[in-house]
Amino acid sequence: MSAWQSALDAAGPQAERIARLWWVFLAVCAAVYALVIGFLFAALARRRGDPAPRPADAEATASPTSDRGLTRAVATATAATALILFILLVASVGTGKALSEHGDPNALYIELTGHQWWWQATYQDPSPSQQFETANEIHIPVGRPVIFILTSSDVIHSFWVPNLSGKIDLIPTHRNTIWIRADKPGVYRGQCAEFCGLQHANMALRVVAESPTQFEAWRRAQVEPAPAPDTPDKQHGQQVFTSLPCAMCHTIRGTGAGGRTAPDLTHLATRSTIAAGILPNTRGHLAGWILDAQGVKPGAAMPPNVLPPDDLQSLLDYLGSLQ
Amino acid sequence: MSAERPHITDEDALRETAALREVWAEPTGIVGFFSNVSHTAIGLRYVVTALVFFLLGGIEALLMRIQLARPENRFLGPDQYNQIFTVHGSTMMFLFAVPVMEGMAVYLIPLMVGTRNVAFPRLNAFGYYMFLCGGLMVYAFFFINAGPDAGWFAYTPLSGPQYSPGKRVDVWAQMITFTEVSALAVATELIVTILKMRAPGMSLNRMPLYVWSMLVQSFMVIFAMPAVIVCTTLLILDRLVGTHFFNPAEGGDPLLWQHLFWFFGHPEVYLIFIPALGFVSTIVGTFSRRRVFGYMPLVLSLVATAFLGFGLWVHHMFATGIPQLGESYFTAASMMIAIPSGVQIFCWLGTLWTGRLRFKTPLLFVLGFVAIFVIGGLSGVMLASVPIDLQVHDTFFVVAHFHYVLIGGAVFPLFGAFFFWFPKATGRMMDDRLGRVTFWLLFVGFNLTFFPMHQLGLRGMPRRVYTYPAEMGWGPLNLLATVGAFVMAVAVVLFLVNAAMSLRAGVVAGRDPWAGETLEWSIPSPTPEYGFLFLPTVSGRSAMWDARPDQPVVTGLRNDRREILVTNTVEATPHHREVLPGPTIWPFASAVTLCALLVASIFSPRAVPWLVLPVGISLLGWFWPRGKPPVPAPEEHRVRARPPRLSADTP
Amino acid sequence: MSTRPALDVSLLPDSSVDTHALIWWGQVFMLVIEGTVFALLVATYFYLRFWLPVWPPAGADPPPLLWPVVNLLVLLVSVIPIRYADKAAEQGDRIGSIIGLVLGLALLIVFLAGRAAIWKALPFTYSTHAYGSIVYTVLGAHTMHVIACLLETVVILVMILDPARFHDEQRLGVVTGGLYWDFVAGSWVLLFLLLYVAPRLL
Repeated sequence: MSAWQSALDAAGPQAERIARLWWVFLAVCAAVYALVIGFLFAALARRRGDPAPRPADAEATASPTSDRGLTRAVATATAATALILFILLVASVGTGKALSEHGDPNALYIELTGHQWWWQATYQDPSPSQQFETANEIHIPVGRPVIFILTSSDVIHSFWVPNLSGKIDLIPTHRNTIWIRADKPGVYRGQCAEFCGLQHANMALRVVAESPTQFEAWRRAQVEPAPAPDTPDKQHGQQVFTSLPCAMCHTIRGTGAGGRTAPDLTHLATRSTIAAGILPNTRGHLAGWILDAQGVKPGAAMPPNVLPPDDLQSLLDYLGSLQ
Repeated sequence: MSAERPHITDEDALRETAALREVWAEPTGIVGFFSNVSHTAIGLRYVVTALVFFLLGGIEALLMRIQLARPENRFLGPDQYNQIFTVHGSTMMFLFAVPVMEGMAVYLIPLMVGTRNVAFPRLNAFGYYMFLCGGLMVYAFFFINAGPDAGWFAYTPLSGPQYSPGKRVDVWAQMITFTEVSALAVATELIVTILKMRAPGMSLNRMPLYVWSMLVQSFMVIFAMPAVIVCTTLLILDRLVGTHFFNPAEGGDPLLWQHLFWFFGHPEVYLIFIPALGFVSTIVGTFSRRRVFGYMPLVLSLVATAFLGFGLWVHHMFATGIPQLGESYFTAASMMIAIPSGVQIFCWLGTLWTGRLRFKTPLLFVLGFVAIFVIGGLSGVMLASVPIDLQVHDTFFVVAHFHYVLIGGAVFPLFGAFFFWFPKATGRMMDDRLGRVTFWLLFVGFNLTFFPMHQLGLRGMPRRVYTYPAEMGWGPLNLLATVGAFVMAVAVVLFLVNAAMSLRAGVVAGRDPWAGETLEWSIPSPTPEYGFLFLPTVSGRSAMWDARPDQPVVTGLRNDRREILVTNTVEATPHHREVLPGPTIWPFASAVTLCALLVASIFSPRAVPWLVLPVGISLLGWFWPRGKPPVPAPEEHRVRARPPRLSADTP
Repeated sequence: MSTRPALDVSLLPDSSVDTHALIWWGQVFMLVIEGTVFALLVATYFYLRFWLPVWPPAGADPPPLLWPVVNLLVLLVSVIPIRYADKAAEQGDRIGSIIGLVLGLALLIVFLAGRAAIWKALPFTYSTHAYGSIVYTVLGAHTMHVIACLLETVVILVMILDPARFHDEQRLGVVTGGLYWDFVAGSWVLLFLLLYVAPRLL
């Protein structure tokens, strides 16, 4: 069983409970199927018809007395069907109830907003100065429940990280919630699971589950504004950033760039992927994305950018410094 | 003694044949072609047109499978792919599956109940042309790269004015108008035909099971189709005129669309499936050479499925954040509907168990139906469970499920039905050996294509994705599915070759090659224009097998006009005679003018008041009274029994 | 020469003007379909109502009841002459049918004029908000039926002005037209409650 994005390779209690329920259902359904096919084959093997039937063969048999036996057989099978379905229903409802309760007051709250075609994550905190925004890569602490509050800024999307839990839709003006918990550290891939337009296939995300200490370190770094560029080259890169249309859509906290319609880039260099989980976050891929995002994700809102090679290198240096 | 009983002679039959042939003849030539109101012609047109759409939908499927055969493939871009999967789904659901079932019914039902045409022949023709126009419209736009691209169910806000600019979604929404007008027309005429035009003696509990299935299905159409009319109309209004039904910024709600659409959409799949159950009952009975076991449970199961089918729609919305209590109810209901389906399977198994089987192609397809549909039903039970659904919803697991239930549950019985009734429609048998090869290719190809998709869904592959990364490891299973798809394509081609060859050179079938149970096997193949020379009467559930040696036929209908017999609803005792309309161009004209109106209204609401006029004129032509008031019939215009009956109100 | 037993139906009537006629049944099912459409619009109304916190939205209060009630009564009263026309048609009384249809038509035209006035006076349009959208759609759907019913009645009336044409087909047309009239009036009672009374209560 492949681990990557697989519902059957559970890394948390939600996915674990669902996977167990799935195996129960599979076993029962397979048994039922075997029975039905078994009876079908038995019926076929029992009576063989004439190899060359006469046309206009009006010898229709009246209902034989075996029909009384058939009545009992059908009634029994129907009762068995109802009973099996009832058992499966109880198992299902029971699992559903277990999925809804986490009973831990110490949950982490993340507000997730869907966009065409990227994920905006706003980490909540009782004190506003500790709240921060990031995109497409979500870190969570192992062993602690995380409550996602989900909505959308445009069309309906669906948040789905199969290793961790079932999916839930992000609907404009609705606020849905789901809680998940990772019980093992790891990187889990998720993907939008509600057709949302041209680049629905390329709207992925990464959930990184790490130890509470690592998570705390990450969180504290994310709260900080972007590190100031410390070399002339990186300063030039920052200038390139602000002179191009980038700042119209993107935010880099600590600079003048405050656009709200594209992913927050404040700590871009800490992410392992770009373009909503589609490309690895390497210098080369980032260059390709900046120059011609449409070649990777046609229809995405990111326009192509024309810039001289020197400017591009400085920009990449600057972006690479956004730890 | 027998000389005193009313009777007719061979000479009467000859006279009647000549007269009826003239009265029921359909016109030739181009204008004649579009004036045809014969149910056999219209039924066959429905079926052939639907099959053309089936082939187009199949080609779209092959294109998708080619694109998905390899990760990060560049055979199709995202826009093309999104149009193709939308048009594939819409074609299969709206332009193939429902119309083909309607067409088979339009052809078969009047024959099975023992009358000469459907109750509303002009409405029948109108419905066909509406269907044809709707399909042509969608494909015209598709071929100029303006095809719908928001999925066959077009969720808002994606399908709304803001996120789907242009006319693509409007074309989709308007296609729905065409196809549901067509479906409603057929449903209405089938219900009235079945309830009011049955042969004397065919009381409700003697109706063939296929007739029951079409009666139930037609009632479902009446109550389900309006929901899709309403939601597509509201969508068109939102898009074209600026209403706010689905616009959350002004008090609308995107989920309203889903509720309205799925209130139609779930019964829709039963609209497709229930007629197929009628095929299965017919074929199982004939090829087991016994009456199907469990007539009452089978009828009640059909009715139960229909009722329950209306109470399940929220199971398409489990991931939208509905309250848990609602979830539990819809889980229970969605599981419960497996019970009537199960009852039917058990009854058929019992019939096969106690029958004397003839392994011809139609039976093979029915066996394939059992093997495939039950898998689909079981994966449906899995999907009914909310926790499981929340993992596999919107993944290829669902794609696998619905193809198992739709192809297994409807297409396999349909192919069986084609092999079974081809002789009646054409007078020739299809080749049985080639039929067997076709069956096995289709069976193997189907499972090769769709079984791996269960796995793909569980391994995280969502639906409606035009590509996927190589690192996911989904490549091999996708490639397998693509290979399977091409095997299925070969099977379909073989079927077409078989049909073409058999049309020209197949074994001559005669009247009743299968020793069938139902009335259509009592008349020549291919059927004459007038169907039955004298309308039959019936003495039992199996009209043919229960026919008495002295089973009477109906006489006294006029043969100088298109007269049929209207009978009482429950007991089918004769009540009065009615005249059905003959050939007329006005249904075609009405459909074409209405098509112009509907297409133009996509582009401007101002078109409506202007284009209503030609529609109005066509409708006037349609409803204007025909000919002079009737005069009493001179006696040579009807064959009457001798001695004549004294009173008309005893059966 | 061989013989076959026969069931002779030649003495049965060759048409029907009542509930056994095929067209009567066809009309009934058409009305069931349209009724289902209305039921779904009503469901949509309630769905939106429970989705919006303020219903009706500010500035969209329902109009004072006087004129809508008067108009409703006009429509209900128009059913009476149509009933009379039905009975006359069933009995073959052409003049009676004509009188009934003309009276009914007159009242229907008054109703339509009243509707136009009330509709125009509403303080919102279909694009103001979702409430406006559903109110206009319900009104529009019902009005379409009123107009279709009116046109159908006009056509039948014109046909039966010619005495030679007043035979079973047209008589049946009067009766089925009456069914449509009942539907238009009956559905309006329910929709009236929905549009003018419900916002006051909910």
